[in-house]
Amino acid sequence: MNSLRLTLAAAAASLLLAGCSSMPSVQRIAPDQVTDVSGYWNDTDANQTAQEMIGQMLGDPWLGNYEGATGGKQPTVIVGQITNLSSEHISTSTFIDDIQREIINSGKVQFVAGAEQRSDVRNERQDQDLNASAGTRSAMGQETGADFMMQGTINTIIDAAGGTSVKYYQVDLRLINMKNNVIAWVGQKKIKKIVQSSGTRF
Amino acid sequence: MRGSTRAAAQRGATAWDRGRWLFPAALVLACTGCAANYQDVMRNVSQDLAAQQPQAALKSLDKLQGGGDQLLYLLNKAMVLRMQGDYAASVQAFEQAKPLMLYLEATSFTETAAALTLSEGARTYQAPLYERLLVHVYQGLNFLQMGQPDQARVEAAQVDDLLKRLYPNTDASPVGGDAFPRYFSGLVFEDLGEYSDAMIAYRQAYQAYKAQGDSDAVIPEDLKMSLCRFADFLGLSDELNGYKQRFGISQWPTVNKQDAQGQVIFVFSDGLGPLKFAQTSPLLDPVSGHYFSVSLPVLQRRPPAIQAVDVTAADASAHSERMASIAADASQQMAADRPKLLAAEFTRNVVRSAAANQADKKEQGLGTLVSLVATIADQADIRIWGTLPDNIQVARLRLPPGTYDLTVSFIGGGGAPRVIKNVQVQAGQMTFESLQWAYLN
Repeated sequence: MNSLRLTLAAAAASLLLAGCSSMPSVQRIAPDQVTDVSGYWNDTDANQTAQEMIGQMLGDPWLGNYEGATGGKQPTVIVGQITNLSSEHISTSTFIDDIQREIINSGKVQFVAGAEQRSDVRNERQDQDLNASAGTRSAMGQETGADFMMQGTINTIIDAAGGTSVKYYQVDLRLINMKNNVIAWVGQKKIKKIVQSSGTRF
Repeated sequence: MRGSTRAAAQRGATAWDRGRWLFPAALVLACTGCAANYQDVMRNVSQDLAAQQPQAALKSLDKLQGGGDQLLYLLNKAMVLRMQGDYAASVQAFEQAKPLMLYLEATSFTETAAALTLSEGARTYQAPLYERLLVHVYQGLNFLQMGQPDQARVEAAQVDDLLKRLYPNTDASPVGGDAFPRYFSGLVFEDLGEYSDAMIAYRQAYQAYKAQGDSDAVIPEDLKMSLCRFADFLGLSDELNGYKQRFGISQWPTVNKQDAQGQVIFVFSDGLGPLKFAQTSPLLDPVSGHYFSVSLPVLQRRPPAIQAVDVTAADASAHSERMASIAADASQQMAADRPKLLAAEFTRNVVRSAAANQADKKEQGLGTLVSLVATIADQADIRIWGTLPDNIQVARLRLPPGTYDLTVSFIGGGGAPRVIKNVQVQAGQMTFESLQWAYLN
């Protein structure tokens, strides 16, 4: 019966323990360190996907074909909509930023600002028209038009049973010629993760 | 002198023994106080909401923060923030609740031990399936009202993921509560122009409603119309003929990607959902003098005064239709939980009896005291997401593009009509508006 009392006391103590909370611990780590905490789409996925897909895009024949047809002119690209069709709230704007960075830093392709940024710049130019001196003013109507628009989707397929789930991410990007709507390039990146969740907790 | 010291020591030892027995019980009493506290807080919150004072309700809810009621704190907070129109803050609260719900799916050793020996209220609150599904519905509605249909789509996908993960063979809840979330998913896909997915979601909603009522009579009219519209648009002629025959519908607004008109989907959350109370039956065993008890939760519905709403804009008007009954969902869930709760209650009584017998061996009569305290402490878990509405109604209006003032007239109570100003309607688009009116009888 002593064990019974022990059980009761342990159960009661567990009530107290369950209510206890501790301060969070914080540890600084390098931004490029892979951190998979929950199994959801994270910064590592966004970075790796952008790097690999843009590398893939710049190595494919469409670039040489375009330069050949235009006498060596670098194509100008704009990133359009990347639609999240997954079951996670993925920040597509962060992913688009990663793609933009990879494209710009490659030096092989020119890149123009997206619609929102353009609108800001145009407002500033209008303001300059009124307030800036003639020598420092940026004229209207001198923008570079994009030759290609990049669009894409992020999708997930989840297969789960018990505490194990397999998450399959598929990112599709395509480059569309602005003049004739021809799809110049299609790229795909797949990520597969196995997430094990414990069926028990303290 | 020596004898009196021994007697004092014996008295001290007996007191210590008694204390050791009563210590866990006292802790349980303290824990039961938590459940009672939740009830008190929710009573205040309900009064604040009925007086249309969401700010005051938020203050009352702060008392629940942390501990075993953290999930309830977040869910109630998200709901109250929605009511005061702070959709972005509501999104944050729901997003904080989601990983917690996932984490709490795991069985806790300590909580199970405490629940099987002391009280059901020792467990951290875990949301039942119908509440988890409604998180995605209200989160989706938040996003739609913030003009982010892509994010609402994620919520629709999460409804599907959750049901697929928990019930991989059927993708459907065996205890109800999934019909409206499926219908809501259909609305989201329809809004995004993803008509195949909309049709699939409407079909799943149809099956779920049918499973609830076991007949086509319980299928909401708007869902019947949507099934016909999309079966027609997608060229599913056999399926369409089946619906026409079953529903007796011969005409419906066509689905048209270039629709010259827009739609307003008005979601009305009516009143406040049911609360739980403990129904406790104590029993004194005349032979042993020990107390036993069975304490189970019972639902008490809070019937809303408002029966329906009429939504009017310009020359168009629509009468709301009941799409979900939270009170019925909660009742169905409770019926499903009952065998599990009874088994746990049986275990607690066995443990209590053994503890009382042991206490009696130490000191005659102590067992009665131990069993009495433990019986008082053993109260049913009466926690429930209390800021959910009693029921959810939907009205759909078709309007030419423009800016409208939407007049919502309450039928059956609720006071003067409410006007939602400057509702933008665009051709081929759906505009989502909502109102939660905690007006009680």
